[in-house]
Amino acid sequence: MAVTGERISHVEWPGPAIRVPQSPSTHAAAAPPSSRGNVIALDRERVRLAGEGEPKAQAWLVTRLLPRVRRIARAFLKRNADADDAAQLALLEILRSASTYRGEASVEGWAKCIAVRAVLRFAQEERRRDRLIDRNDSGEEETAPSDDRAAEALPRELRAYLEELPEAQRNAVLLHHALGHSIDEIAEMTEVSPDTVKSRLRLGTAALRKKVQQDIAIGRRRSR
Amino acid sequence: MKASTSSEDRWAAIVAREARGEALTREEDDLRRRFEEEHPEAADERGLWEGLGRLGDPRGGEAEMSDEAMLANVLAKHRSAPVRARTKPLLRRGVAGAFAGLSLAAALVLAVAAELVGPFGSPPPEEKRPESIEDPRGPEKKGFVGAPPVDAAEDAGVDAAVSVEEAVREEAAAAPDVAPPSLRPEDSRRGEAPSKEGRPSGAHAAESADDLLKSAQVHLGEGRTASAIEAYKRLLARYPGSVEARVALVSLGQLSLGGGDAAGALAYFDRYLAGSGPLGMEARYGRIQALRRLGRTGDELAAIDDFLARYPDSVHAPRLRARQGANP
Repeated sequence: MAVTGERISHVEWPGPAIRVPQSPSTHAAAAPPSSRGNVIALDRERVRLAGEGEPKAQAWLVTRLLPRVRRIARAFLKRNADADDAAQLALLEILRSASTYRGEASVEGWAKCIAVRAVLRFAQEERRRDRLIDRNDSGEEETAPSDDRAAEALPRELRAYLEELPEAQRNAVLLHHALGHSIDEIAEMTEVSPDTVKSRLRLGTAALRKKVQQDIAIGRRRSR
Repeated sequence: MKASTSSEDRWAAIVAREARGEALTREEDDLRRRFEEEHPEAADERGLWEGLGRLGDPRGGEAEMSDEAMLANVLAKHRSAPVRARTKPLLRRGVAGAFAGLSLAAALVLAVAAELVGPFGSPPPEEKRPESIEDPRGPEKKGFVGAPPVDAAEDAGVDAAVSVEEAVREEAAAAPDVAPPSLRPEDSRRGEAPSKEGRPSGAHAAESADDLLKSAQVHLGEGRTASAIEAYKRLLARYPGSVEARVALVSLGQLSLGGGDAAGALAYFDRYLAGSGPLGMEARYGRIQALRRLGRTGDELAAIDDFLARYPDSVHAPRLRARQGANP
């Protein structure tokens, strides 16, 4: 684990010895040390231990998934406090679901669905709360800095364009372009058909383009 | 020329992908370049897709919670109420919430750090002082008894190829007078006093290796970098063979790097990597950064090769591959 309070990117297994159960998948590959089956079997045992409440296994699981989960939360939430909260809720959800991991996919593949759903729920609740109290981003809340030079070239803040999209289209665009998920993955995460995802993505992408082009055409400039 | 929707979408996806730090194939790179040549108006939109690709990037500075604080917070919350569903956010706004969250996070970071390093804490039989506490290039104890051998320790992580049990067996063989970590439950207790290696001889017995590590981490958490460095160096000097000192080497490397002392950072990372331990990836990544800042491109690329061979799925891997691509 990184130790200076900056970024945790990776953690070695710090817990007790694990004997990997001899499953058909581990036998199938004649158990070469680096086989994917072996790694998944080992991970399955670690996640199982986490689900049983083993503290080191829980620390290992959270540390391993933390960068990915934070990325998801940052993509969906503008305010830093919201992104932090959403990431923590998603990680807690993953810990609570650890006992359900069956090793059918990688730990990351299993966890990202849980994390995306948790973050989407959080973002939806925040949006509803914002509407109720008419919260204004220019207030005291800290938001992500827009120091990206490419995004600065846009007539308005990127988030402003995203805000104008219907929620389903915005989610599809963020999951695909900001997080790199495939159509099928997004369909699974959002529990709709791949065709629906394609349609939302197409409409959302076209709407974003149109809004940017319109702003450029009328010479609109963001307020500094 | 009017771009077709499909080629425009493909281009947008490639631009976003590149912004996410993923390596492009040659075909994708060609497609992107060709599209931009044929459609110069696409430059207006480029910021849109690049910006989307970077939305998940760390926001930097103190704007967001550190990873360590978040780790500690999540584990503490889960352990205190593992079953009850929560609907309220964990660290809400407000002065009281911020202060409470910060102090809780700081306390838990220390506790979790102690717990994480604890199992590998079997000490070497002898203590050996370095010749100088200031010199990161000082003598390194190669044995690091109590940690798994290099290969086993590296492989026991995410990309585990060797059973962790093997590492523990080898560890037990290397230190026959010390039970394997899994058989020493008392060591896993939070706040456990350090082992005999973690106790100095003589008049300074009050400040253990664990105390010094915690002290350094508290200083860091409160933004007192100089005090943290001083505590880490005191730890290195007084308990050179302890697990805590091994952690300090990586921390000092990262702090030196942050402070602009790439040569010093490199020396700390090299000292850590001369032994073994669970922070191999952090030390190797820090070493790459140090070599880059020193302008030692050849060594940097060799270090990247080594890193990618060991940690192909690391979050750093895409950027390192891109760096490789930029220096064929």
